[in-house]
Amino acid sequence: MMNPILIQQCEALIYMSGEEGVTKESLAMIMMCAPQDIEACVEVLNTRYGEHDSAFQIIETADTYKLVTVSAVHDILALHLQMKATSSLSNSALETLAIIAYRQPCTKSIIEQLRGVNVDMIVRKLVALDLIQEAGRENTPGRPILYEVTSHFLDVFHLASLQSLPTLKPIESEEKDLYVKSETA
Amino acid sequence: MKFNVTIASFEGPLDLMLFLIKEKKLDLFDLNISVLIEQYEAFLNEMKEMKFEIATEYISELAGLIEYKSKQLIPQEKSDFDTDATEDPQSIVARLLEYSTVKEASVTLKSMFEERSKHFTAISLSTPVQVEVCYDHDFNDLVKAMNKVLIRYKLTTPFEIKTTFKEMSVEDRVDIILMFAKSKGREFSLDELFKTCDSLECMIVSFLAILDCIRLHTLDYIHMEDTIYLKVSEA
Repeated sequence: MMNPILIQQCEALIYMSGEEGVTKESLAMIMMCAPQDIEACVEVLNTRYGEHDSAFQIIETADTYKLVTVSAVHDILALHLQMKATSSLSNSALETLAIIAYRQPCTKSIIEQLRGVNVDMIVRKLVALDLIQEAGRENTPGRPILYEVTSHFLDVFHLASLQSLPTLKPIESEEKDLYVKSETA
Repeated sequence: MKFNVTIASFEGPLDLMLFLIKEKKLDLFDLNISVLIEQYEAFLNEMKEMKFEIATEYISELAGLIEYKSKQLIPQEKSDFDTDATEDPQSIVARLLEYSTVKEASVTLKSMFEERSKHFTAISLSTPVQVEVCYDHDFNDLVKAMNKVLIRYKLTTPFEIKTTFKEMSVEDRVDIILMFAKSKGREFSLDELFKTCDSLECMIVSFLAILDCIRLHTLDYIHMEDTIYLKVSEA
């Protein structure tokens, strides 16, 4: 059983951190306990919220905890905040993000090769949206810039880490004989 | 041959090829490249007849396909010198396969994005400030900081409905900001400065003014964690 005071402290600290969230490490440091204890606290809190139909829940993205409202109250909040239709990402933005997320760090030319279109503009936009960032340069001629996704990316897709990305559907085993067949096409 | 034109926006030539493969029920794993080329070419010709503008990417891809097709027509003799990087069927199929996985992944990501955007967070109530001087110049940090300010502003004033005309000059704002900076006499955070703004217009003009000041080296900026600090340049 978790110490109720720890749970209370943990809840308060996450609440205060608001949209910026607070990392597991800093919570552990402030509360002087192990990161595992923090995980346990969050679990207790989330169960408690669930049982009481609370408007809140705690989410974890990139080792950062945030107290967020549940999706059930989205509509009323959107009305209150006078939000027009939820802004979404365009298909080209999503495709580009998917390529970077699964193959990072990767260069623009890899994305272009895969998508078959010029991606200068979309990459610039994604950098401005803080969804991707530069991650050094590749050691090949021209030393192209490498890109990787940011922690903000993990947040907007609600991913705890890159490992929690949905697994890609593996290409079927027909792949091997595929090359032989297509040559005779 | 009768050809039905579907007016859909494609994300690129590969997207179009995948669409054709699906529509003509071709098997991606046993792809008949020449059928695909015919379909692809017919589609582009149809687009041209209908006076649609065709992006160069589609044409360049078509050129690659046609080159492949023409190579099929002449007897093939492998030569050691023939090592140019033209498109072969393997790479087309491999690219199509990889593209289709990416496309699938992007659909999943989209629903994840939509799901996440239904959760709101409140504005941070505490921002412990630790001042420690370290000069780091990155334009993107300024943009990020500005975005943060705008989001906060939007969240704190949800019910603003106003139509006003205001003229603000960046030059005037530069003077005001410099006065503000001099009266402070030390580093001050961007958030602090934006607190003196009473409208979105004022924030935008202030941001332009700051950019101008940095360009003219009348203000220096320091970047720490997520916060930008400004101060009057000593030089």
